Amino acid sequence: MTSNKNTKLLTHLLGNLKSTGRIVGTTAAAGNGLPTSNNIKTIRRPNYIAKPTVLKFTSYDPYLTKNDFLSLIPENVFAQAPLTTDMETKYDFTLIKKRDPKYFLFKDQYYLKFLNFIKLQRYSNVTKFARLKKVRVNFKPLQNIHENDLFMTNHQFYLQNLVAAYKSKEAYLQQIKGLEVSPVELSTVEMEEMEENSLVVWNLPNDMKPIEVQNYFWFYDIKHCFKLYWNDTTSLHYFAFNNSKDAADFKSNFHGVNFHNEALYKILVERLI
Amino acid sequence: MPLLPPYHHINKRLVRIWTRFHHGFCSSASRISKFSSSNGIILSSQAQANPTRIKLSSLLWRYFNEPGNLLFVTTNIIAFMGIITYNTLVNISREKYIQEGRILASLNSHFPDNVRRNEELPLLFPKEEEQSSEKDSLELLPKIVDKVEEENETSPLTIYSENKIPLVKSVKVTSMKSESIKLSLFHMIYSFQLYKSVLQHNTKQEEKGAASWNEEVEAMWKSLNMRDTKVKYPNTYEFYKSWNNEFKDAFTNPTKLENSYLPTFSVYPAPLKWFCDTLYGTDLKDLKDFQSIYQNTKSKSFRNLLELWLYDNAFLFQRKTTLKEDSEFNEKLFQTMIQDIGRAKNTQLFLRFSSIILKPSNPRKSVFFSDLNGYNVPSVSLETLLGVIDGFAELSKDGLYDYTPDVTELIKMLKSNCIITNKASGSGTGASKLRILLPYEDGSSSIPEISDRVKQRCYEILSQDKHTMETLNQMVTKTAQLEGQQ
Repeated sequence: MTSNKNTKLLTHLLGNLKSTGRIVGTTAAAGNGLPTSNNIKTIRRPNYIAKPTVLKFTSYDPYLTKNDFLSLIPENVFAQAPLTTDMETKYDFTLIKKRDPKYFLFKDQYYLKFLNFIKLQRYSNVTKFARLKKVRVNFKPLQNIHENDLFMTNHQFYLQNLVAAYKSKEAYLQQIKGLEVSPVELSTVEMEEMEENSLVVWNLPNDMKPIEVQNYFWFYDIKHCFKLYWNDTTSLHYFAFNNSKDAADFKSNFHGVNFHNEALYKILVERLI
Repeated sequence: MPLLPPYHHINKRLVRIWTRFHHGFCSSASRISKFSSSNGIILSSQAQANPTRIKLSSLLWRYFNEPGNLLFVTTNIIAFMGIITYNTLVNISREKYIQEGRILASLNSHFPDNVRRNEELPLLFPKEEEQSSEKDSLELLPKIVDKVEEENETSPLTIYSENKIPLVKSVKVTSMKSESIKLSLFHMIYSFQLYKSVLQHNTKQEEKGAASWNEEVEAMWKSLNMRDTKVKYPNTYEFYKSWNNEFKDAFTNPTKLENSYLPTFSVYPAPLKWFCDTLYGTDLKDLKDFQSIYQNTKSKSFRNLLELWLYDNAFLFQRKTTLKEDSEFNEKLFQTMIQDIGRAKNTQLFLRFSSIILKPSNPRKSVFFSDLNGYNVPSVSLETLLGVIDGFAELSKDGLYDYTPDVTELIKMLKSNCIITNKASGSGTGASKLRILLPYEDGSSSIPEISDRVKQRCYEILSQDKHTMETLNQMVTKTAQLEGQQ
């Protein structure tokens, strides 16, 4: 016969497992390669950040979201209900995709910018053994001061250029040439909205004028579009939409489509979200 | 003899052709006029009679006098005018746009003085020759800008070289189902081990793991103040019931399954460590893999949990088509399990598993037993059926359960649903050729009719089978004893 205590233990234990998802062996023990408070002083190299706040993650998948990174936390894997709201405050980071500041293309890297070093360390500890889509993840802290600065300026440039490009082609060109460098005065929400409304499109025919492109895709609410780059074989267009739904529709309808049924014009669409 | 020109005969022929042509033309024209006169649009009968006398003015007059013709011409003119106007307007706007672009381009070219702009289109950049000169104009900006620009200046086309792409170690391809099974099994055994460890904390029996495991046990033990518990052995059935209640559907979310993995099991106590290691090594794609885990598991409570789990989750192993060897294998697994459960005298679980054969509506039949060729119902071998009867006998030893109705039902099945298969590799005894059809739905209609001749032959084979006769004998004596007691 089971005693009362046993039943109590059982319900407590299972309840605990269910709500917190804590499983022994999922998180790394101390010592994950990052400097701890003990050995911080011993490392004195030039251009070295002892307490980094940015983690770098390399992936060829351009559409990972913040939720994907939150779901790596083992507690999220084993707990029954998703704990994302809790996790937001506990780990607190912003996800930044590395993008080409000029052409807006994804550059195979994600940056997780944490509020402080402690949160970074916590996250890096718990995700030591984690798998993202069955592949073991590997986060690298940005500890070189130049690398860190480069990442920040790169991102700043990207934002500025995007704001200009969304405004108009002329503004973008001025911006690119560094003539009217205007600091970004938009909120994150507005920036996100702008990213949602933007697309870059590869391989439209080179001889099509922007107005023709816009007329051809009349069904979509395109604000404006222009060529970012071209050479003999390929072209890259920037599309600004008036709403994100049309941008999403455009991507799902035209990504991978042969324009005019010609393999040469295989349209590739990338959203900036 | 008249002097004929040298091409006289050719001339003659030409004249003939001409007349024929002319004549034919005229006749076809008259045909048209006859045809169109009924429409009354162009030619009247008078015009046909005297075509040369018609004047243009009178023709027009007549034409416009006909009803509808005036309207037809006017509409045409209006439409034509409309098209022309539209075309002009479009051209004007396009020209305006191009001109604006030209002006802008010429303005642009003023800024970095030495930059030559492409004339053809207003806004063009990265042309390689231009880039070098463009860089000069950026000199004023901080150095970092240069660095950023340098990185991205050349072209947006990223070139990936094969040796630079970091390839991950080959990852096993697994199905969602097998992942779900794995995770579910892991979670069940893990929770059980934790439960057991907390119960047995600070006793001789406690199975210790690495520091992190022990800490977890200690913390839980302290928080619940488990010092004065009397019972140190966990009840597997109780545990399973609660666990199943909480975590029945916990491992079905595809995103979670995609990110799931077995934790570092080296920190666990030995039995759990062993279990995780085995789990890690198998794919768990069918019952065969499950069987290998089950057979190798030594811990009685783990085995018991696996049995309980399998009964509830048998559907996860359901296959649309099963190979013959696999289906034989699945039946073997059923045999071992029912034998184990019978020996362990686990009445409740035994009743569950035997109901797979006894209850027509139990859907697990198709997981363990395959359909015979020609019959659309699952069937079991004689061995399996006798195994179940033996199990019932085992249970009855302690008087735990009155098996009579169930065994009677089984013997009835043996009597009425027995058939002979033409198994080519009939190994030795004839009894291996026998299969017993299982009713699939309620009512006997689901079983095809078996002829008396076949039944007769079945009985003959049965009567020669030692095992069958022994079992049946036992049953008869048992029943007699029970009746005597009553």
